[in-house]
Amino acid sequence: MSLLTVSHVTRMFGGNRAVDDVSFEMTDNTLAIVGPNGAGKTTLLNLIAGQLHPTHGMIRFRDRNITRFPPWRVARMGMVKTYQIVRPFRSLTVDENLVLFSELRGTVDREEVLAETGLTDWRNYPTGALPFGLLKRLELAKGLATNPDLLLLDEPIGGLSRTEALALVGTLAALKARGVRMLIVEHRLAEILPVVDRVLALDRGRVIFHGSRSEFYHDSAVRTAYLGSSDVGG
Amino acid sequence: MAGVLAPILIYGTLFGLTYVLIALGFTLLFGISRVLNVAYGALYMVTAYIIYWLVVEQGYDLLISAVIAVGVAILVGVAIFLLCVRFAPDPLRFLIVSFMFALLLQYMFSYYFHGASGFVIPSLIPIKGILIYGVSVNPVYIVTAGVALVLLFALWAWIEWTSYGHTIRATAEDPETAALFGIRVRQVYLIVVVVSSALVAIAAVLIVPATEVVPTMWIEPFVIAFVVAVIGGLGNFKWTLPAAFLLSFSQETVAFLYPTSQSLTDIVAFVVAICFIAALPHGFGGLLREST
Amino acid sequence: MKAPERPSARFDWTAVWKRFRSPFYLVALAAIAVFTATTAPWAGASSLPLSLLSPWLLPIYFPFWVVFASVYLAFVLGWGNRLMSPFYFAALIAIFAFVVLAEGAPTSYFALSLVFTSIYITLALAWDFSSGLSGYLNFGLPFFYGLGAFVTGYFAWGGQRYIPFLLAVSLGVGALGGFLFSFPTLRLRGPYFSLLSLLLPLLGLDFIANYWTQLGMPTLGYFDLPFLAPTPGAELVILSVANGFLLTVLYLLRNSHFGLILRGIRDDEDALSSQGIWTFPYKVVAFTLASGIAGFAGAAYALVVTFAGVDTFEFTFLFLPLLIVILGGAGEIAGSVLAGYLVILVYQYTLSWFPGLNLILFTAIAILLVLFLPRGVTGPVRRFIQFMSTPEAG
Repeated sequence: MSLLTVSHVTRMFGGNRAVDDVSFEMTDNTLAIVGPNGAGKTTLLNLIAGQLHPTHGMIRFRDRNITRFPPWRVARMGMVKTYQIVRPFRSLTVDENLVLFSELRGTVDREEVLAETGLTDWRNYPTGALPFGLLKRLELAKGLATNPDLLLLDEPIGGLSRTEALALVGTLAALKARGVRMLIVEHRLAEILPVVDRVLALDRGRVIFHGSRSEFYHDSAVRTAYLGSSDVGG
Repeated sequence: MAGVLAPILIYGTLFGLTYVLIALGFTLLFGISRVLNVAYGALYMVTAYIIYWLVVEQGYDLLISAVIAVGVAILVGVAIFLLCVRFAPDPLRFLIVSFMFALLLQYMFSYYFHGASGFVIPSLIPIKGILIYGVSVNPVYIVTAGVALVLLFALWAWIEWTSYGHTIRATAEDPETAALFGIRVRQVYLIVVVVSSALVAIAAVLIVPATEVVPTMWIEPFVIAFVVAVIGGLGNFKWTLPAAFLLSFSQETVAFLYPTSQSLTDIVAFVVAICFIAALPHGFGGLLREST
Repeated sequence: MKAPERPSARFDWTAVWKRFRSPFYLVALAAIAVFTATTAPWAGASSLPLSLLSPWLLPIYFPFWVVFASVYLAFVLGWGNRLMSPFYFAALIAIFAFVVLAEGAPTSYFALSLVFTSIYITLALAWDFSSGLSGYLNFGLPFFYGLGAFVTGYFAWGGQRYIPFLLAVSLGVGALGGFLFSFPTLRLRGPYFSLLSLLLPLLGLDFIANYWTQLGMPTLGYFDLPFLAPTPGAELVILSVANGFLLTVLYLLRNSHFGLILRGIRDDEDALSSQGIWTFPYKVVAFTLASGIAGFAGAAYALVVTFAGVDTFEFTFLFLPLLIVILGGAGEIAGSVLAGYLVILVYQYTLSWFPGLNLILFTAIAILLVLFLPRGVTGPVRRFIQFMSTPEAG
């Protein structure tokens, strides 16, 4: 059964087609959505998560039509989005941030989530005191605390130093290994591609590529649109 | 037929434009700086009391006193705004503090005049009613309506067409980026506050002579400004006119149907606002907006 | 992927039973039983040979068993850790201490001032719990306060003079009103909701002031209502018990999952809802509860002054509780109690010294406090506690 099906989804802002007739299907793998700035990646992610509604098209999650669902309902069904610009609950401690969600869909062991994201030592710190790198990890932890079937990650390593980014990608790899399914929007291809199975590339709202990671490396359309002709690296 | 429609149309239009004048500064301030300034109505009250004191108690000339009063209102408005922005920049605390300033001013005026209330201030416009289509109209409102139209247009022209207006709009969109581009954000806010305060003060100069001066008089202009702003879509000041008209026409219709009730108008305002918010949280402006 | 398990058993009854049987809890239960038995009006305490303890075992303290029982219950049911806060205990002690102080002169101005203080504290507690925690500043609460007073007056004049009934009905009407009011308005985000809620008391002032004769209400208001209790001292006990009970319940709620969600709403409601929590019902419950409490407080006020009129919609019943909450630290609940005693006692005493000017003084101080002490007096203390308890990270 396909986990997520996006069919001919279009989203317009005024006359601008931010997302233009995008269709793809996602089963049991890790998908990355890539593209240059303004390609519509974050808009697409917001559409999938329910924070925006498409002008046309349909989105199905676990074989249910979630196109018009409000975000909280989508999250209850098991698909949760994390924020690119982190949004922790600042007056609460790290652990309390997780407590908010950990009983929503079955009981989630917060200790395990904290351990997986490397936040165990910080569990009683007020989030206002945490440095940026840890806040990015907390963002991930909050998503995990909801016991998601599909985690939507919006630029999870955005703004991190190379070392921090690689460490976080290591965490993502571990999550992937234990069966967490992820859809990742990311700019920093070199660091993120190793944990990704399939790639969807957007340019100006349209899909220009959808295939496996290795196919992505070699697709000329992608290279021209996104990378010029420079090497992807990684 | 005309006997039925005429009062509603005439009063609806005149009061609608009066509301526009009252609401204009509030919507402008909110649209640009995203703060809900409860003390806005208090500036209306300050203007009225200053005029009263200068003209009735001290005996100065009305026009000069009006100018001074507007000036004082601007100063007070700027002072409150600066204090709040400096020490309570988030919208919720700004709201509480501005509310408290309004109360403070109310208590101060009440105390200074030893609780006496119901003063009348003289008008720049003759108050004797004129008959229009058989409807008795106070010329104050005609002049107010005219001034409202002029100021609405002037404000709109300023924001949309002049380069400084462009600066203001940029600051409204994104103050941080605007600052990066060399726009002096604090100066922009300051100017907006001055204009906003001046607008409500001018409204007071024109309108208050037709009503009375009481320590709680800051509430009504605030309620009107707020309801109009909400219906129009907070911050969307091109919708101020239709919003004000919606309010005034519904009030006049209700007043026509139930002529014996005096304060039904306030209730109508409240009910209209609630219905609007329930149906359209972003007001008229939200109808045409596409993004969430 | 973890298979979603059923939520863990919410209640561990075996642990409760164990606690109940443990020596500490049995002694506590016995102490409460003794207290209740000796202070009960029918026990004839004055005839018992307990002269050493008699100031604290007067029948007038009997209603306090409610507070002791609720605290005991909270601990035995395993929620004790939610109450383990210095502020909570300080507040509880303060409530009891002021009652004891007042009993020396149950009809004095001091006792009467404390009665008013207690009513303001009730309002502050309601406001702090709903608005202080969630960040949704509900300026409409005084409307339900006034409504409670009116309902009491209405029923009292209708022949119903049984106090508990009047209080209960006012609470119910307040809660119902708050519930209905939440529906259209809580869909709005913070500042917009606040401004709209400001219209409620204005409406109350306006509408009631002009319409009440037409609605069949007496022109001068409902006067000659029954007294809440025979003396201010007795009234104080009733109100203090109510506050003590409320404090406990609200504090428990504050530190529960429910309270956590409310605090999350204050921090970032959009993030909360996008991650699976439908925030609307939490807000509605908080506000319904607060409005009910406000209705109760309004009824109490009407029964203390034996009059229900337009003045209950005045802004002072909005402004003073707000000041108390700010001074006590928004969201701290217990802070409202402590700050309440301070603020209102000063207010009551200066009211007789500078009428008119005290309002100005108070408003000015309030403004300064909000500007410079956004988290109230308890803020720095709380930060210190948090600092002391934060572990060193590796």
